[in-house]
Amino acid sequence: MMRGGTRQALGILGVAAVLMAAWAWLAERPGMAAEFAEYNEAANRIRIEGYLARGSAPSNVIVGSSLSGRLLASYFKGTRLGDMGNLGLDGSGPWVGMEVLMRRKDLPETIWVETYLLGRGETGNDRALMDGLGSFGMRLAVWCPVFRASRRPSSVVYSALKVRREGGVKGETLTTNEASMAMGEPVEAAPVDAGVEERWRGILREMARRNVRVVFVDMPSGETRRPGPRRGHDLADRLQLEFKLGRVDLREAWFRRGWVPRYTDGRHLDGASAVATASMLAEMSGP
Amino acid sequence: MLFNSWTFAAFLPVVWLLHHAWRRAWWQVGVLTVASLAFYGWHTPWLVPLLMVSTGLNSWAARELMRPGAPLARRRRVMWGALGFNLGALGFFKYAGLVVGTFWDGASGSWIGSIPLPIGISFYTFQGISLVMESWRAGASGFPGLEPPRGRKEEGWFHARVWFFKAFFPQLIAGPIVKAGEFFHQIGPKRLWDVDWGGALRKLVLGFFLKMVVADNLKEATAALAWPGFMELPRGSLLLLLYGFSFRIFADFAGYSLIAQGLARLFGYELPLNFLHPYLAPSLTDFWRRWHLSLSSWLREYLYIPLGGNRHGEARTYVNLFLVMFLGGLWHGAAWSYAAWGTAHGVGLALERWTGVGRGDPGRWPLWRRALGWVVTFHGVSLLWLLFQLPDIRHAWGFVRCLATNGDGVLPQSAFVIGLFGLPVALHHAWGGLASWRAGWAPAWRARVEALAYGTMLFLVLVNSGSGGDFIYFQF
Repeated sequence: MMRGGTRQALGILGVAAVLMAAWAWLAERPGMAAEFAEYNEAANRIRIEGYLARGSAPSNVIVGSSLSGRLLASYFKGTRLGDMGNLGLDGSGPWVGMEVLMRRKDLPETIWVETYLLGRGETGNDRALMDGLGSFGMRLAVWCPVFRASRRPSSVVYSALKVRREGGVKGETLTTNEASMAMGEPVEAAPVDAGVEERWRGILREMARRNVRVVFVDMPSGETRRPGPRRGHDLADRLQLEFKLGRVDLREAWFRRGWVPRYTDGRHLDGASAVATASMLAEMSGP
Repeated sequence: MLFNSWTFAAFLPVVWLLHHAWRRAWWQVGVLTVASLAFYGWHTPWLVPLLMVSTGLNSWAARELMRPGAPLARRRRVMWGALGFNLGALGFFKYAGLVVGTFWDGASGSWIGSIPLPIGISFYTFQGISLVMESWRAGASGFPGLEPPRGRKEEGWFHARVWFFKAFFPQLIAGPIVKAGEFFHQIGPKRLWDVDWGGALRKLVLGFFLKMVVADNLKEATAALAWPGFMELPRGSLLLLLYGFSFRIFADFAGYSLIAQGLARLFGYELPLNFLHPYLAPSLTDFWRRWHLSLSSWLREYLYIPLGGNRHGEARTYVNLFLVMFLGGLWHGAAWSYAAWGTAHGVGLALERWTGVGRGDPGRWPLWRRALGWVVTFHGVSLLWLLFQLPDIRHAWGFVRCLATNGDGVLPQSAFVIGLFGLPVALHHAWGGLASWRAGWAPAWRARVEALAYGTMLFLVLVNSGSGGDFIYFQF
């Protein structure tokens, strides 16, 4: 006869199994997967797992920091860049996104590289992300959807609340401001950490060898006035010239239209501005 | 090796199967001792020799202290020598940098300041001291489970059991601190069908839930509790950060202790209770009857009582209380902020004793007194946790100033995270607070409710875990 403790243990395992099965079914319903997460690490996992679990690589991918992380893949639907993947990673820089890209055998046709943290070397956050890439947990999540960050119940709830709070990010909330159109102070070249320039050369050579088009993207990063002229050649300028890369300045694009981007925290685009930025990138992506 | 790692998920079933493969005490003790050394040295093998030296010396000392006919002077020398070794090793590895850095200007950057802290040394050293003290008190008669050996065969078995006691992996790195008298009598052949599956699974599920779902999901949100990042935050967010860190430190440490207890049960051992819903305490005195019980109990038995406890008048009692809490604070880490944390608790306990606030059974207090005491105690304890996260006392004071002067408001993202993942800590305490009401439930109804609650927690461990990583108490 089964003892009370054993019976209770089986009861606990049974309840967990039923909930897992129910959640696995529910989480696959349309619109259930989270696009946002309640904190950076979970948001990064959503993007990385989503990218690695795709059947084939998308034709376009944007890599960068949390600035470009705001340009969700869904914002590009119906534009020229409809098949867009997003590897803008919170608290990280574009080279980690490139590392994620190279985990797949197939590469996108075009990689849009955000220039904001191009010159930053490896940080503790980058190392944690890289460690996570090869982990058993990541492999399990790629293989089995219920273990993905986009199916975390807390992220699903948070994402739904955020989308609702931002009004489904469809509303036109762009602002114009004459005073903001005046040219700002000259922009100094960003510092470059040791070894970073050579690392990028290696990555760009590899992309050229594999016929992948790379375009540098200057994302709005808190500007409320028209950005001033760049002073001196920064890393992006040098690499652009050397590898004959394309470049899209989305900061300038905003002010050229007479609009001022809006930010949630002074640096990251709000929902409506992110949608508008995605649309500008799509328009400027033509040959 | 971390309990919340995939490596451990593979390690545990192998060790468990080997342990139960043969019902012989020497085999089971041997398997667990070897497995514990592998567990300890998995990432840093150089730590194993240090543990082995400490264990070997304590084992020898326990044997000498129990040797029949040994002269008292020799026994005394052995006892003091072993205590000196234990405290010396702890002092060297944990406090040398602090002492040198404090008294010799600029020397903290020297090699002494850079000695790495061997993980778990505070815990296994305290267990070693417990063994020495119990052996000293017991003498040639021994104590239950550890009698002086008669013959060579028993000699080996004596030392094997001491090694097992010191190294047993569930409690090796972060406790609960097991006293010798609580453990040795449990050593013996363990049968597979004696395993309390229900009890073990409940402990494991609750432990992993508190660690992986609550503490790990609160980690990033409470990381904002860092200088000078919090300076710009509105008051509501600061208060949430304070609560969030308080919930996190509880969930992290209580989670670890529960996992340790659950693992020990899988092998047929019972580890002491470490937490008893501490945030329900309506006074600091009651808080210390509920928080890190194995440390409080160790400090009371091996420090407070030997110092005289409350047997030498009021003034001496206050000094003893103060000293024990100061040293208890310093035990947590080699920084003066930890000493300040312990001292503040000591002052609070002394004040409660002086005013009579902490006396009596809080369960018999009027509701208003319990409610008021709870609000004051929870906020006092939470404010003092700041010293764990902000080791510079000026920064901790800066946080309190910002709490008083910053503008109103709350950041929605952190409010969501701290509210959502702090809720289980509140529910866990409410569950504990309703224990007497639950006791009246029909057994079948209670079993159903528990299966539902623990099954839901297990589900959330599988699909909603946080970012993982070390346990907070590893650094101590």
